[in-house]
Amino acid sequence: MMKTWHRVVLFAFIGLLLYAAVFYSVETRFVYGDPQENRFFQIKTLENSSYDYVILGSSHALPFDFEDMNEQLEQMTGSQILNLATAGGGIVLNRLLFEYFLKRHNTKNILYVLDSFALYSSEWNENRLNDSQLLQRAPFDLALAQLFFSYNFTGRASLGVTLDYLSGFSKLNNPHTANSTHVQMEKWFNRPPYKPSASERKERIERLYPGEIQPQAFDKYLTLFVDFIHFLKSQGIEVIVIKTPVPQVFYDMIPHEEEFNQRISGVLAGEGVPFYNFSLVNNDPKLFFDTDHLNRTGVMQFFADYFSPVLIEHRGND
Amino acid sequence: MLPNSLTFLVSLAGLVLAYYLFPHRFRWPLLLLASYYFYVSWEPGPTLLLIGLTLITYFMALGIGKNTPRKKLLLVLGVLLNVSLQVLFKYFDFFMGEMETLMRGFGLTLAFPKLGLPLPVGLSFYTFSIISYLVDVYRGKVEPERHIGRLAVYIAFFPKILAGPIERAVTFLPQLRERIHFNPERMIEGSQLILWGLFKKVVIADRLAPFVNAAFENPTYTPTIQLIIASYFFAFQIYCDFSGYTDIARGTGKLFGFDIMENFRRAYLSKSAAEFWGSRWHISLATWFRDYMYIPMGGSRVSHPRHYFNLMAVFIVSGWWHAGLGFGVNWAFLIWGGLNGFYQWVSVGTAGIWRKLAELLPWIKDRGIVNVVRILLTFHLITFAWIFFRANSISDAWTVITRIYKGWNLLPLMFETYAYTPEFLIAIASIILLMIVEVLDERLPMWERLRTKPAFVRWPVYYALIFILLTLGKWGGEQFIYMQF
Repeated sequence: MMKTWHRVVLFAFIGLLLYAAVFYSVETRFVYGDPQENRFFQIKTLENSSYDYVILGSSHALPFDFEDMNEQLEQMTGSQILNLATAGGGIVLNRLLFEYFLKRHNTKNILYVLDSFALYSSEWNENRLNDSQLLQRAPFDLALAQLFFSYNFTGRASLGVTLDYLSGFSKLNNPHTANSTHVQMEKWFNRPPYKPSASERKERIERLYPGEIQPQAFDKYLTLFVDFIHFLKSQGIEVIVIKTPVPQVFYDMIPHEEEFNQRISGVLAGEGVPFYNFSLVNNDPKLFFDTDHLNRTGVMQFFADYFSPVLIEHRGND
Repeated sequence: MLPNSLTFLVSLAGLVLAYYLFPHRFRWPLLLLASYYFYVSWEPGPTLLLIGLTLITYFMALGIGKNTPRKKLLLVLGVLLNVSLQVLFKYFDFFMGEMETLMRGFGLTLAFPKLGLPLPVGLSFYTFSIISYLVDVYRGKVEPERHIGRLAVYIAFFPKILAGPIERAVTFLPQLRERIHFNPERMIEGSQLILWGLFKKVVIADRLAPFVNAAFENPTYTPTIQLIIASYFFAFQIYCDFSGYTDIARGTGKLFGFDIMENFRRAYLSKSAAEFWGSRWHISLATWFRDYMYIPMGGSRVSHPRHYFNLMAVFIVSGWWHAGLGFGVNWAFLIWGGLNGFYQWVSVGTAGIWRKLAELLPWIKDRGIVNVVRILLTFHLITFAWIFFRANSISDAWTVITRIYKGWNLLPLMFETYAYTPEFLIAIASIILLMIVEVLDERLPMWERLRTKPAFVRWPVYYALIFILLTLGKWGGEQFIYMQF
């Protein structure tokens, strides 16, 4: 008769083997079979090793990557461009993605699409890493695991996120339900001009700017942002910061946006980082597919009139 | 921290290990600390209420146990205190609001004071445990506990504090005094119960919840087919949610060497509403009402009208006890209670007819097909009553019922055009699996069946359950419905 603890060990061992088999099956079938525009996946499977520009930021930079937009931009500027912007991506997530990118690739410039909300709340920074959607299609890579560990030590990610990634739990759990915001938004990219209601705008603003703006939180994330800029410069990477167009009516609803612009302009000028505020150009409401994201016409116009010249100008400085 | 979270399961493993490493005399403080930590992780404020109530109960029980002439007064005060807390936290603001509405009907705009107190989680459960303890001390069924630590563990024991079972001191306190040794068999039994409880909660109940919530949110604009599906799904959601919690609680208790009472016995296999409430659904509450309300009122050993009155009174009070934050405090809970009381009336009133019929036609007794018909009929009666339980108001419940009634003739067409999403199919498959297990359990519990089988039969079942939990479980931290009562 086998001893109890022998049975327990055997049961756990077989369980682990089965777990590994399920993990492998999910990794091949779902992560590689249906990556859902996951940025970790994108980085892991990149063919090029070097780029002229890597675009970082939140959802306002996503339309630059929808459908054939990135290729169009590459043609206009004659540059190799990689868009790593993520919906709701604040400084912490963008830095994590970029550090992961740097493990095997490099770039000459970073084009950072900045939004004030990304500097106001942990919701778009540390908490963003807890979103299982991010890990649902993130391929297993020891380099990324190592990065998660280093983020644990600096308090920028919880241990739970690292354990989740290592165990693959988010991938195994309901893998069929993955529904990335990127894919969702891309479906609306070509829809006819859309007129959002006042309540939709209000809801969106409340979501992006939850609660009162805390000066301490802003200072914290601004410091992280500046620290990121220092890190990039130490790697020999040039940084350009822009703000993308939003409709006037939406812009007017953003809390303390003018103060934010002044503060960020001053900080970036002090760091010698070019800053282009395109918030109120190319912002006819017809150019947006929802409350604040450019549609195909809006992106093409923005590329031609504002964005490409900036990229060409700074690429010329190399 | 919820019992259906990975954090809970990991912490539980550590606690069990510490428990068996500690000598007996240090175990109650460990359990008490763990229980208070568990409760504080929910709501720090009401923990003081819990501690205060424990202290009061301790001294009151000692007073009652002394057999002085004041013991009845102490009991009344103790019961009143606990009932008042429920009234204060659960119903006071609701009644004030209803008074305002009533006054408006008379053309008076008055603003009655409201307390705005948040309902402490598990209040209904631990106050009922306290009442049963005080009454049992008064009746001499249990000695007043002189060790305040043990009494505190009885009241706050973390597996049961959020949603029961409403454990009796007479069975629980002696277990606390016992010297418990590590027993692998018990550990396996406990783990099996937790596994099955989690399956019911995170695979079945939490998968059904989105269907139910979407339909009951706005029944006027929800397609009839969805209302029908939601009504059936809610019957299974609440069963799996609540019995799942109980299984986890009982399983956790077993890991520490405690036997916590059974609260559910395959409820939807009841052949009558009397059986459903008498011996299969929320048994700890049903027996509580039986022992502390129904029997003291005379039970069935009184005149017929009084018997009927007693039955209805118990169900009305039970309905009102269920009114909570989950689906709001509203009058629909009284209708739900009244409806179940009415089912009891019919059961009692027709019992003689069924007995005579069984004498005349003995072959129908315990015939499979007859039993199936009775089970289905009972299930539908109970499911119908659940509509009042789940709806946000009486008018919403009425909307659901009338829309289902009017749309019944279009049912085949509705089923033809319904979008059978993977989520829906998984939900149906998990309900079928549940019912197969319940039917098998009726003869011999699943785990006992498995115990006699070799490892190559048992282990695949365990692995299958574990992997279903991992891959199909909703681990988003959905609360348990009964926690909010």
